Amino acid sequence: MALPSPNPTPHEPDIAMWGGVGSGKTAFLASLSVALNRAEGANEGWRIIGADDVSNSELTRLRTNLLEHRIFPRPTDVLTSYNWLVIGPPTRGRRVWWAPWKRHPARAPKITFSFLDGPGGLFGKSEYSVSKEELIKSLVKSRGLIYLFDPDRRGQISDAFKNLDVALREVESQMLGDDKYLDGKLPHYIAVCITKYDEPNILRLAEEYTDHGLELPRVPDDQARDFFREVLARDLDQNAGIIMRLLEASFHESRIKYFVTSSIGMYADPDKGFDPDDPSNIIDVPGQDQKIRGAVHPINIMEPVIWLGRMLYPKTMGRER
Amino acid sequence: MSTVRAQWAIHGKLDRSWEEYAVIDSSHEPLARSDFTRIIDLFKSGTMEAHEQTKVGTSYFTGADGQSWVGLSRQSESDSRDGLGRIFAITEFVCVPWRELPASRVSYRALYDALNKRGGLPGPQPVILEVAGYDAAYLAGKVTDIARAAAALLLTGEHVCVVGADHLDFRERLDFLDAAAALLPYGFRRELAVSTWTSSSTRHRIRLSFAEVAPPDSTFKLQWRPDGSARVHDVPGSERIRSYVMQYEETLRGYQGQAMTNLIGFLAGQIEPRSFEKPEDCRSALSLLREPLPEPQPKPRPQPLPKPLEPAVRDQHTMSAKSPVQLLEDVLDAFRRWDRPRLGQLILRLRELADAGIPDPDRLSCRQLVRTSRLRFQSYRLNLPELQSFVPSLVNLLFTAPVQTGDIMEVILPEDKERRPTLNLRQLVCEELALLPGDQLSPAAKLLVADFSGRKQLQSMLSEMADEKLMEAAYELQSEVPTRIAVDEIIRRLFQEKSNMIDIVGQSNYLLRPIRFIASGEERIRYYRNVINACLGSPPRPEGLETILRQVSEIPEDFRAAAVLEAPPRSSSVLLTAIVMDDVRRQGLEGTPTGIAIDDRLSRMATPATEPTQTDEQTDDQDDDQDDEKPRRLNRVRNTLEGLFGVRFFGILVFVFAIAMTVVLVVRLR
Repeated sequence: MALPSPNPTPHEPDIAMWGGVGSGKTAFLASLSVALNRAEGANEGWRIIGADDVSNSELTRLRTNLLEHRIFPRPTDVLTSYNWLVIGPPTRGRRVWWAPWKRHPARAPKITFSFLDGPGGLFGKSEYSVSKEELIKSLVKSRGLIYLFDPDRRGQISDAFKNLDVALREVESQMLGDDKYLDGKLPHYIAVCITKYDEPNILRLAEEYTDHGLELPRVPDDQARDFFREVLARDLDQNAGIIMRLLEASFHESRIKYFVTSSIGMYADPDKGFDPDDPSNIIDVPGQDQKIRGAVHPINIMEPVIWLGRMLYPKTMGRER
Repeated sequence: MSTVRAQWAIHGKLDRSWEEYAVIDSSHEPLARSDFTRIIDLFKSGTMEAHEQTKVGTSYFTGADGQSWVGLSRQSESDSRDGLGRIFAITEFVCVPWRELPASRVSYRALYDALNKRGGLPGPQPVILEVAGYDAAYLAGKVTDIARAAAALLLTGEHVCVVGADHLDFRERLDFLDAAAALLPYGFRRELAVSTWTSSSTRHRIRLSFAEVAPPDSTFKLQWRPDGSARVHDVPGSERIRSYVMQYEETLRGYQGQAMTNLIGFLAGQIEPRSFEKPEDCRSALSLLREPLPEPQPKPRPQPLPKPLEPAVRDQHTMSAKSPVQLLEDVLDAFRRWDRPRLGQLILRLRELADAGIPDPDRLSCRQLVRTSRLRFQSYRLNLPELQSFVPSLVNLLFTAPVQTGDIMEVILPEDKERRPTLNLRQLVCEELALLPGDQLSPAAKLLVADFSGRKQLQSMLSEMADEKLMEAAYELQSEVPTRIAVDEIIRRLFQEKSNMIDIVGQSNYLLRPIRFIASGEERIRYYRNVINACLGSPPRPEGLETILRQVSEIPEDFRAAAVLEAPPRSSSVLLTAIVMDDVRRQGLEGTPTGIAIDDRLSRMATPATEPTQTDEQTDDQDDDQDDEKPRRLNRVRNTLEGLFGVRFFGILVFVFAIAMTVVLVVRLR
């Protein structure tokens, strides 16, 4: 019996994303456009649009759910692809030697981000699955990775380990089998995101790494790795400690960057601002979806994407670390 | 009604679970849980989002033993939450061996209704589903141009996606999918995956589905329109496939009303498995469609009884074994003989039968019997209790709610409009239909019945009918006179400048189809002129005409002529743009470089000149042409040079040349 082929993905993914069940992958994507709109300072002026009608409508849906309906995305059931364009602020026009009297028009950096968002538990399944195969393919073909780790999964760290371990083994067996990568490391840039920083217990755990000098607390990027190590060390599961070693053994150390992120941020009262004793931005409504309590203040959501963009497109965006 | 044994599974999460979606319960034999996981995984149509309607989809697969299965899933929100407090989706899945389906000719809707009626799914044994019979008349009533186009396009082997139907209830979408599938030989259902909703950002395997936006690939996109109109224009692939699809769609258009019901019944009999991936199967579908439909089987005559009995006694013995047609024949016979004792019993039995409902083929035969009956009733007999109880039962037997015009047209004849001292059976049926509550008849059927009941009834019906219902009736009616009445009434309301009516007419393609149905030649142009004139309002403005022409998809020649005749002053560019862009769309040039160039050129041509006289205009045009010619020549030279030397080299050349000329000038000046 002939099985129809699925409608093809129009773009190969530049960036792939993976993480365990409920690690916040879709919420990350939903808040990306909000983060870009809210950005100030060096990251100001960035925006995101859909590269086609489908991605545009998905982007609108994700934004509407987050900002208007004030709800989180439902658990992802099936592999979903998003093809987005992230457009930066235009650079100053350049002069060229053959026409020094005129300035060339300013050009905005434009990066295609094609994400594949799949159910978190795909790698935990031992049996073959079409979606799992496609997700592995996307990890192999992409050049940048976003790995989401949920530190609030009480007793679920072993899942996260299994998820990471299986995925890395599959990708390594496909990429390192031949002599293409002589150093035995995967060539990707990887942004490791420790998610759900807005959860009160994570905030408490991150207390000593937190920079309180800002409107909302935040773990600076140079502290993120240490915080990740602490999160893993506190877990009773003996595999937890291996997660960081697994990552640093599989990728070049210079190509890994850690971020402590939150898709919705902490609750900040419009008049009084952030209250450390009342940080939760989520309300539990019986029989309904959980609601977002106040304004959405994404923390470190656009930064991993812009960092990967800078690493992957140094000419367009200017490389920095 | 037939029964099928279905295997079942439930896919979702357990309450407060931290696990991923999985099959959480299922029947045990002969399919394993891994089979269910695989099949549900393969035919997922996208993550179920908040505020989404229930999703119904079909799938198919081959079991480990080589047996083919057809599945149906119903996905809805759960009452529980997962470990993270998120509401998740629960999918109820049933599947039936393919070999059991053709025997019962199960439709998707019937399978869904059976699953719905069944309630909970018990384990681990299979579930017995009571599935309604294949209702060809019901499916024929759901066939629209979009369904025809979808069926024809499916034969290319590509996916088909219907957009713009977000507002429809999922059951209506399921009926549409069923209707499109019914326009193909039944054997294709073995490999047809459909879904009432898909997310186009998901890489799904659903051949025919609804979505908000069509996927950006080779999937065919069909736009849902309220009037159901659609036409296949652009079919990629070889000329042969294109012509083949067009022919299939065109052939389907030839079947209307009862002929469509017959065709669907015939196609349901084509049960040998077919594949969309096999061109020969698709080709043979067209040849099948062109075959003359088989003649209906002759009605079985009642078997002669061993011993002749008195009519009343005989009926008492055999009534329960009689088919509805035979029973109706007996009733009519009893009326003819005015056999009152026998009549009472027969009418009683007929009423019971009508209340219980009869299969569609029997209903069609009964309609035929009433249509051909010569029985007439004197007016003094109309109040007799036998007749008073017979006619409502007969109407109940002949029709199911909501009654459509096609159903009525199968019973009544044009001459029934004439009134005589005696009334025939059809006229009595018509009068009874006029008494039915409003929701029992479709708007068009109401108009049709009122038209047959007399001018007064028609006038009162028209005056009460809402604008939307009137428009619905104009599109649905398949009879010339009431359609003309509906169209005239719409135009009359348009001239009253009711903005609501103007909007409705705009959304319904400016009555193109009903007017095409009732008028031709100059009369048709006159109708179109009236519609355009009324919609333009007073004073007519070019922008109004532009709006009208933009809303009409595929502007027919006679509508163009009417638009020219009704065009307000200074609207030539609007007309030209609309007509040319319509041609661009028809030829599939929209968005191509040629299409964009034409659009640009039209925009430039439409730039208003400052009150030019006729001679000024001509001069301006000539000047324009000359002005255009200069940069064009320069560009040509530049392009040639650029082609030869490249852009940078050309820039350098010009720069060096300029410096050289400056040096020469300076030297000379010295």
